[in-house]
Amino acid sequence: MIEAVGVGKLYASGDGSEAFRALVGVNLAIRDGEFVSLIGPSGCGKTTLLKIVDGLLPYEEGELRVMGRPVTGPGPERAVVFQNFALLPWLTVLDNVQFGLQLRGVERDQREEVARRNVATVGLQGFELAYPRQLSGGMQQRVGLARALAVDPQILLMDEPFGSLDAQTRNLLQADLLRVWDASRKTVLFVTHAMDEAVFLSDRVVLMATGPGRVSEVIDIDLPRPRTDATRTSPRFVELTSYVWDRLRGMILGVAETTDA
Amino acid sequence: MTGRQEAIGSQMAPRRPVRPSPGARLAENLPLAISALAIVVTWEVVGRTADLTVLPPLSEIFAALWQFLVDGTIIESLGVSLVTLLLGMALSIFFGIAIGALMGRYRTVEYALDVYVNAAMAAPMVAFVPVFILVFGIGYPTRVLTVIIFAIFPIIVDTFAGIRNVDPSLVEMGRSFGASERQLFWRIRVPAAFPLLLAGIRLGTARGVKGLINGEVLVAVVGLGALVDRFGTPFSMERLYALIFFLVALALLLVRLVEWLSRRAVRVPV
Repeated sequence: MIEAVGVGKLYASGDGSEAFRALVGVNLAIRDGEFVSLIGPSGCGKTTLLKIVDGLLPYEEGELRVMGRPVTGPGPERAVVFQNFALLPWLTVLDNVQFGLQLRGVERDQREEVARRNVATVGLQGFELAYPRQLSGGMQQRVGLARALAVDPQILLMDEPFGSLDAQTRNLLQADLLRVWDASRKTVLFVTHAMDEAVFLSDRVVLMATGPGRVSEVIDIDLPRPRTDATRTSPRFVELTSYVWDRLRGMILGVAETTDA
Repeated sequence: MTGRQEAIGSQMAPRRPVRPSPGARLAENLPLAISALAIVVTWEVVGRTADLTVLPPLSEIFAALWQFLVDGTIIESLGVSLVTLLLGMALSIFFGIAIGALMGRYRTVEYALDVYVNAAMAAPMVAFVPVFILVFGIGYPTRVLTVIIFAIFPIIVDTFAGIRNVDPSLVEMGRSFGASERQLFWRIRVPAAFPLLLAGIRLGTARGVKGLINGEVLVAVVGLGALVDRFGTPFSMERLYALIFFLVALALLLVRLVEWLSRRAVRVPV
C-alpha cells in the first residue's frame, strides 16, 4: 500500500553549503488495511515523513510508492487528519465535512448526503449546523476525521490528531477511531508522541530516531483485536508500552549525551 | 460510535455566546459616561468664563447645530457631499478589493505595486488635491478622486494582507484535499481574509470622510467642506464646531453603515 525505499529529505541551507538532512534511508512497507504508528523524539522527522507520504512535501532521495505509483503530490486515495484540526471557521460542521467533496466537484445533494452520514459516524449528529468555534477540541477533531472519511480514501494519514486533547477525550477518540477503522479497514499511518496511544491503536509501531531522522526499529504489536479499555490494563500492553519507552529513553538520553559532549 | 453520547453529554453542548451581565455592562459604560460628563461640564464652564473666541460654550455650539438642522443649511450641502462620498467609496471598495486581491493572488502584481501602495499609505494625500483641481476643475471628478485617494489604500493593504496571511495550516489542508490554486484562493484565502477586509473597509470609510472634507474645503464652493470654509472665521466659531460635531457623527454613522452593508453582502459569521 505504502512502500518507502531509501527515502531521504534534504533542506537546502541558506548559504548554499551542506544541506540539512531531515530524513535518511527510510525503508517502510505498510500493508493494505494495516494500522501503523510513527513515534519518536521531536525532530525525528515523523511529521515530515507523513507529509511526504501525503505529497505535501517533496523528497530528494529514494523512492516512495503509494498503491504502486510514485508519489508526486496529494491524491484522492489519501486524506489527512491534521494536528490542529485545520477546520474552516466560516463553515458549519456539515460544510467542513463536505469540503473535500466540494473541491472534487461532487454534486450538492450527493455530497451533503455523504457528509451527513460521516458526521453521524463520528458521533456528531445534531451538530451539523454548528460552527467549529462552538465545539470542544475533541468534537472539532471528530469533524476533522469526518472530513477525511468523507472523501473515502484508502489511506488515512493522521498527524498527532489527538495531541492537543485531554487524556479522557483522547481515550474516547482512540476507541472511536478503532471502531471506524474496524468497519472500514482503511490503511492508517498515525503520527504520535504518546507511547500508550501508539501501542493501543497499532498493528506495528515504527520507532524513529533523530540526527538525522531515520527509522530505528519496527515493533509488532501482538495485542488481540478488538481492543477495548481492558486492553489498556493487560500485562502485554504494559509490557509493550514499557518496551517502547525503554527504546525512546535510550534515544533521548543518547541525544542528550552527544549534545553535552 | 453510538451509545456514549450520554457519557460526554456535557462536553457536547454547543457553547452559546453569553450576554454580558448588567454589572459588566455598567462597568463598561460608566467610565465613558463620567468622562463625557466631565468634558461637557469643563467645556461649558471654560467657554463661559474664559470668553475665548476659539472656544465657544458647548450650549451655543449645540444651538448652532440645531439651527443648521432646522434651517436646512446642512441638509442642502449634505446631499452634494453624500453623492460624492458614496461614489468615491463605491469605487474605492470595488477597486481596492480588486487590486488587493490581485496582489494577494499573484506575486507579480504584488512586486509591481507593493512599493507604490506603501508609499501612498504614508503620503500626505491632501497635497494632490490642487493637482486634481488643475486637471479636472472643481466639479465632481476632483472631489470623488479625493475621496478615493484617501480611502482606497487601507482597503488595498488590508485585503492584500488578509489574503496573504491566511493560516498556513488551512492552505495546507486545502492542498492535501487536492485544491487547485484557484480553489485555494476562492474557497480558503478570500473567506479567511474577510475579517481583515472588513477592517480595511471600515478604516477606508473613515478616511474617505476625511478626504471628502479636505477636498471640499480646498474646492471651497460646494458641500459640507464649503461650509467649513465659510464658518472658519473668528465670528462663527460655534457654527464651525457644530459642523465638526456633525461631520464626526456622520463619519461614525457611515462607517457603521458600510460595515453593516458589507456584512450583509458576504454572509460570513466573523
